[in-house]
Amino acid sequence: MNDKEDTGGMLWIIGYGNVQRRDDGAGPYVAHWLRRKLADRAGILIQTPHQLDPVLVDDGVPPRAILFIDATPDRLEQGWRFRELMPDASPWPFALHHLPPGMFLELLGRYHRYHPFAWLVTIQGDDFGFGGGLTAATEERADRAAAAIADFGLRKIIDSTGNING
Amino acid sequence: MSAAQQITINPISRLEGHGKVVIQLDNEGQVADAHFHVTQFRGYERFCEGRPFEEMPIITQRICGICPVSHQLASAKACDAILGIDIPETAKALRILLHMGQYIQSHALHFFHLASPDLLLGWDADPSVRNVVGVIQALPEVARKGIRLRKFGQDIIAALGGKKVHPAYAVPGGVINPLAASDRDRLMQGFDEAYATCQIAMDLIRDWTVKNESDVRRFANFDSYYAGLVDESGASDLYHGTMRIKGHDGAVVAQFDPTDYLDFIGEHVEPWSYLKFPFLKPQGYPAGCYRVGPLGRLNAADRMSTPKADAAFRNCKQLADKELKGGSLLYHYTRIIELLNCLEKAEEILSGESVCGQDIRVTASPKQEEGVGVIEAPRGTLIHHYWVDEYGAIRKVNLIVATGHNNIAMNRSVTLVAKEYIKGGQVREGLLNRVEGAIRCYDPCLSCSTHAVGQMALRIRIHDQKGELVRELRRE
Repeated sequence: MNDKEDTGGMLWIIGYGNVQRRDDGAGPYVAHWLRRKLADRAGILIQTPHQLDPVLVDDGVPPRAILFIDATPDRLEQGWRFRELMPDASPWPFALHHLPPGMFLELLGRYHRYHPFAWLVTIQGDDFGFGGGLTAATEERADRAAAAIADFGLRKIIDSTGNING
Repeated sequence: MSAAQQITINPISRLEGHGKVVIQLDNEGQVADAHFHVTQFRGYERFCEGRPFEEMPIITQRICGICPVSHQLASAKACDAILGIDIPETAKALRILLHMGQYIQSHALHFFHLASPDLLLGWDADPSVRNVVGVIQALPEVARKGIRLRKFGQDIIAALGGKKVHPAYAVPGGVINPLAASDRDRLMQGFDEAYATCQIAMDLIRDWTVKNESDVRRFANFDSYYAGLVDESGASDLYHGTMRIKGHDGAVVAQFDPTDYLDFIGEHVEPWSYLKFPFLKPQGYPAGCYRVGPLGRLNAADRMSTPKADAAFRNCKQLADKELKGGSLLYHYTRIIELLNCLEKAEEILSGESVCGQDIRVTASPKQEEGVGVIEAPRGTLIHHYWVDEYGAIRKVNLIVATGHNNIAMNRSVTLVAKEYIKGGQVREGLLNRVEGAIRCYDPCLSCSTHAVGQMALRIRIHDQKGELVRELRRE
């Protein structure tokens, strides 16, 4: 899958969601948490867009691996989930500026002519109504997810790609 | 299946927001009527009531995730009117620069991401490849350059407002930050590539229009009025100017200060749509159907305000004069002419001596109980009209957005295309995509982007005369 060798070992962390729709901001919340934790690590680009805009494929050095972090209204057994993500080449949704992560990965792969490794962290949210700040339950889940990503997830990503700087 | 059918396309793919099309067939399977429904309800005009007027540029930009800058600028202009002030020249230049960034990203998004799959890959291409990924496969450099051009527009917005989407920049009385010289210098380096990409788009759309002239002539081509802001010389003006309405014969039927819009524009309501139907009052509803946006603006104007765009405008006019000026597909061509115009205008502003000046805002207390702000948003004329009490609290709001102005025209386009391409009740995805394509010409923004959770699929529902569902097609 990953056949490009000159990406410089860049890891992208994209925590996306609308921070003005309460728990939809769980992705940016975790990304900010990781930014504080990983401030001194080279080779990691952390972004917090409110959606996966196609233009993001052109942002920065092409990644060797991507970690997407998103919120979901679905019930999750542990309150959050970590899974490997594959490119999704199925027909696009109607709102083109709002790409699901698998389709974003497919576009990024076409754009840079290679597909990076990718993982998706999904955090269960309860309230997606207007307003700022996470609900207490979602904040607790997001804190657990962030700690686990920093402790285990990033090591797994770094080990599997073998070339993340820092 | 009953001969009398109803075809529903819901939601429409590759539009900004939620909408559906219902096509009513008669007993012979011929199109009897078609309606473009807007099923969203936002309520901004009501829940802004009571807010301090100076909050409006920030509140109203949240109407949209694609054209927030347009709402912010129209709102700021309405607030300037309430303050009774003229903003400093540098602030005006920076607002226009922000506006140009918005146009560049929005028009590039529409052409390269939304329209080009139909134009470059064909109406009947497999839906799984008829998107920008498919364009990357077929024409990789074109797709890549399109993404980068949109990014250039977003970079202009971010340089001024701190972020690409929902920037905090225009405020009553001016703007909040000067432009840094380092940002000006960085942005200036992007124009060579941006012009080159725009030229690729111009060549593509002109060639496509010439090659497909008969399709353009047949496809949702109808007489209407055309509207847009123009400057003193009659050139299209995207930030201010007077509102001009031209007839299909090219005669000016009205030209007025846009703050007087209520004297010329009425709003009709239909029970099946939340989107109102603006019309020209002297002509009545629905005869007073007018079009805004790139085609409306360029048919209303005499020229473009910058040299390269003006040359492209004259080229386009030579084609349009061959009975194509009412052709909805001409929106794509005129959109690229505007894109060029905006690149030239942005470069002109950035080259100005005062663009990094510090005189960017004046403060004042409210002097008027009413303020109107009108600009040309990428999709057409945008009107923000506020009434305030003696403390500056909002008493009433009236917003007329570009997609609203085009509502009658979009319905007419859908009906015409459906009659042309759907016959005998035969349903093919490619044909239905033409109905979608007719609406897509207008690039409608159905107030969008930040509110969808999950992925929307394309559904085609076919009902018999009694309303029973007899067939459903889904594209997940």
